[in-house]
Amino acid sequence: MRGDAALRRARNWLRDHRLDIEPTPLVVGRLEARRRGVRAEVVTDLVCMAGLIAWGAVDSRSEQPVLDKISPIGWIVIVTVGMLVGFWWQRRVERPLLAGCTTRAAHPTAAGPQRVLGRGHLRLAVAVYGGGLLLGTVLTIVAPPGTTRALAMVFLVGVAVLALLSALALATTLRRPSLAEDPESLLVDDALRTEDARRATVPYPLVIAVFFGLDPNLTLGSPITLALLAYTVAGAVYWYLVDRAAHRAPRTEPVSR
Amino acid sequence: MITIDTASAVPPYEQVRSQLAGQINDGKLAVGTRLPTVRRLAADLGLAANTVARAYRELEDAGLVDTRGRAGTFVSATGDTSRAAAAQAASEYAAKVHALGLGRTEALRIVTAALGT
Repeated sequence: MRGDAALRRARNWLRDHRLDIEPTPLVVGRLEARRRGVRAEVVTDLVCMAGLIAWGAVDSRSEQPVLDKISPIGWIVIVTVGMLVGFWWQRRVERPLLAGCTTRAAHPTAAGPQRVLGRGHLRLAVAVYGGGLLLGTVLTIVAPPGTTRALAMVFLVGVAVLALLSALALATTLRRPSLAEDPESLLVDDALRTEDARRATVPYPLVIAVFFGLDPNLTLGSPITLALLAYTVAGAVYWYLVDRAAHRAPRTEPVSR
Repeated sequence: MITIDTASAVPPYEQVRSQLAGQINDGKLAVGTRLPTVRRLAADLGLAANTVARAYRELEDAGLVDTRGRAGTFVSATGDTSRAAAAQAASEYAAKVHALGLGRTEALRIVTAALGT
């Protein structure tokens, strides 16, 4: 019964990813490992968020609370760390799946981030993370001393931390060995890798920019808030266009090589 | 795609070498294509790094790939040269067979047996 449910979920996943193949036991096992990885990710997120909330409760009673300035970054850092834990957990569950396989399959060519992510998503990641770092640096320099400059610095550090975590998650995804025994499972491996790489480079700096752009300590409509909101809107439109183009692209070849 | 059959009598390094050589000679792997690193391909196929390194070394000796230091291993522009070398070796074999007075059928049988190993 449980196996039937896993098989049905695998068929649905393959259909959603436009992969016209019948799930093999390895593919079903990998997709179940993915589910368990996501579960580990959610548990990590919940535990860390509970910790952040508890810290917030203690921090709000102190004379100089700091958490209100960094909490938007804290939430997103938790989400990214949770994703890394999920990736690790998934690998741990996946590894024994190949134990019974007598054949292994791999691509004969090297693949960089552009071929795994797709050109559009790679440009988006560079534009959003690079743009966020540039904007944070400029705002830190031009902002008047005091609260405004402190907020700009927190924004810059937040984007830098997220860029680092995203790069780490992307490198983990690109470097992980293929788990495939035939062309079909290699196609699934490609699709999983691309999906994970795109999750690793979700443009979270846009979310941080919204929080800072609408911060009550800043005057709405000031050049700094306008710059942050313009960055958010431009990044969100770019993200939408890239995502739409990726969904419309025909999938006939393995994505990663 | 490269597949490795661990139950096969053919050694894994030879499976890697022959499949890569075949794809280079067929033109499926274009000149200038970068191959995975030894460690990466070994991890993907569940082999020891030395096994893949041996396959790469033999491909390099055959002139099918170039190793450019840290940049990686690339399909070299000598795919046609390797065909020419095979044709040259075949001519030499044909001359030797004639000199030995062997018949065509027997000569082909010897080649077939040699290719099958």
